Amino acid sequence: MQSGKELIDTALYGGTPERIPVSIVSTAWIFNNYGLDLALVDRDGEKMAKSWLAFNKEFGADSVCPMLSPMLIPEYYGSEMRIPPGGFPLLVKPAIQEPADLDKLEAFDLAGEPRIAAAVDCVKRLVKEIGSNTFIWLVCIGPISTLSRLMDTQLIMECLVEDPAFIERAFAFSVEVFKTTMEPLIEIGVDAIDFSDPVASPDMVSPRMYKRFFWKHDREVAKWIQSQGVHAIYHICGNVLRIIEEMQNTTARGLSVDAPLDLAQARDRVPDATLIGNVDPANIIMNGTPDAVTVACKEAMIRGGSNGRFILAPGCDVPPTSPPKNIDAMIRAVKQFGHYPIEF
Amino acid sequence: MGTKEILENLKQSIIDGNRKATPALAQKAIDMELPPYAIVTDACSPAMAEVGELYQQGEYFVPEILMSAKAFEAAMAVIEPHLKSKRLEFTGTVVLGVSEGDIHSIGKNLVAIMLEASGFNVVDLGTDVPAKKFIGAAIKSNADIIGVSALMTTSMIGMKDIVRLVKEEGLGVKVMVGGGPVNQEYADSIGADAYGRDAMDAVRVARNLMEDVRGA
Repeated sequence: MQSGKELIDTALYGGTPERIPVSIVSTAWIFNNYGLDLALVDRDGEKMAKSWLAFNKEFGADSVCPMLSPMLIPEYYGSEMRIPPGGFPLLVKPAIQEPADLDKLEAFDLAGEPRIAAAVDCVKRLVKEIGSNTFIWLVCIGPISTLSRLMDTQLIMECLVEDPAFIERAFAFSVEVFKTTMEPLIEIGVDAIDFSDPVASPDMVSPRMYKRFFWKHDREVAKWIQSQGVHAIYHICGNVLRIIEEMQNTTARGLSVDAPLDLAQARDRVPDATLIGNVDPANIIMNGTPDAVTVACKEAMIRGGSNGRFILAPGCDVPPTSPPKNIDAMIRAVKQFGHYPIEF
Repeated sequence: MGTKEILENLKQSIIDGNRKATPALAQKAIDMELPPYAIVTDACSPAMAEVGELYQQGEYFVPEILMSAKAFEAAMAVIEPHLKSKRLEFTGTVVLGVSEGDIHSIGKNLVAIMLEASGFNVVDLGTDVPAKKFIGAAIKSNADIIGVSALMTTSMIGMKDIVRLVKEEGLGVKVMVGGGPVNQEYADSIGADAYGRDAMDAVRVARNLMEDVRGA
């Protein structure tokens, strides 16, 4: 029987594993579920690792998903952030108020950064304890969307029209910072880096603008990650059908897709891509019942994964208040119904 | 430049999102002694309506709409001091804000500008707005509609409290909701009166709600 690690590896390499694997991609839910505060835990590698180890034991998913704190880069450069109780990080005051502020930012210096040290510590513990059988799926904000925590997203949108040269510089800067912060984690044995880029969503920017400004940077990131011997998993929120071919052309081995995407249509567009998703985080995982979760999982599996190259996952980060029984239902769904050939 | 041409140029400048050129065109229309109200109704508002159509057709996305909104605001800043009074009659009053725990303002800002361009009086409460503040503002402004936006799954939960408080207070105000994770099903589940898919749809929804308000 394939281990969780082998199941996901097989799917990401484009094969058909014994059954559809499942990954509970979560930054805040996991800590909320184990009584920890996201605002505090990101400096404590031991506590983060303990949460994922407890999750691994309790739920038996195929992966654990440690994170590099989404607060790290924004706060390093002076953005003010806050995390509401049971919520996700919010940008309160951006470091870049106007384009000229970008030039004041220096290269990222890893030395003495407790959140980097904590992420490294967490990953090391997970690799040591369960890394031989469980897939280590590192979750982080991609460089383009990290920029939206260094400057207001509305300013990014305005500059895309009025100051494209600045946007090019800003994206390139953010990519370099991203690589610097990822290096210590790559070295210690993560299996994949899942970088999300919600600002590139077709809900926000046109496919034309995505291709002109975003794609080449995300492609650079995907290729760089994979040149280090690690799978790149690329997430964009919203309905990405219009850019799914370009997403695949970044070379990322996994395309993580959100609930609004029709998986069957996506499968037609990119038959060779490994799709990851796309159970509705809000309306099913957070607000639904276990039965509704099972129905949604079966639908995702049949529409996206009937011929392999598919990993069941939430469409986006699991909402922190989601009931554990719904997470359990997702994992049960693949174990009960996800064996190939898929037949319900 | 004739009357028709200046209005056409102003309209096109807003559609193009040219916030630098737009104020001068608005000023030129004022200098030509065109009735200020007509400049709004014949150039500025139709421009935003066309921007809405371009969005619906998949031609415009957030950056383009934002720049048109900026150009619209720049034109209105020139024209408004010349209006003898604010609109004699608004289409309706909408109290608008982003749900508590959420600071994503772009969607809300676009809804505000599209509603204003369609003749609504918008009371913009900003972001991270507690439920009680929506209620207080609705009472104070005698609002017809409360509009709530949320981009995060964690903040959309707050919409439920607003609907509940409206009912508890016995207010006649309608509640419309929207934003990334929100859909019709969720709107129905919390008892909201309407769901707007995007900023353009919000105008349609608000107009429909106004028919209910007037018919009540």
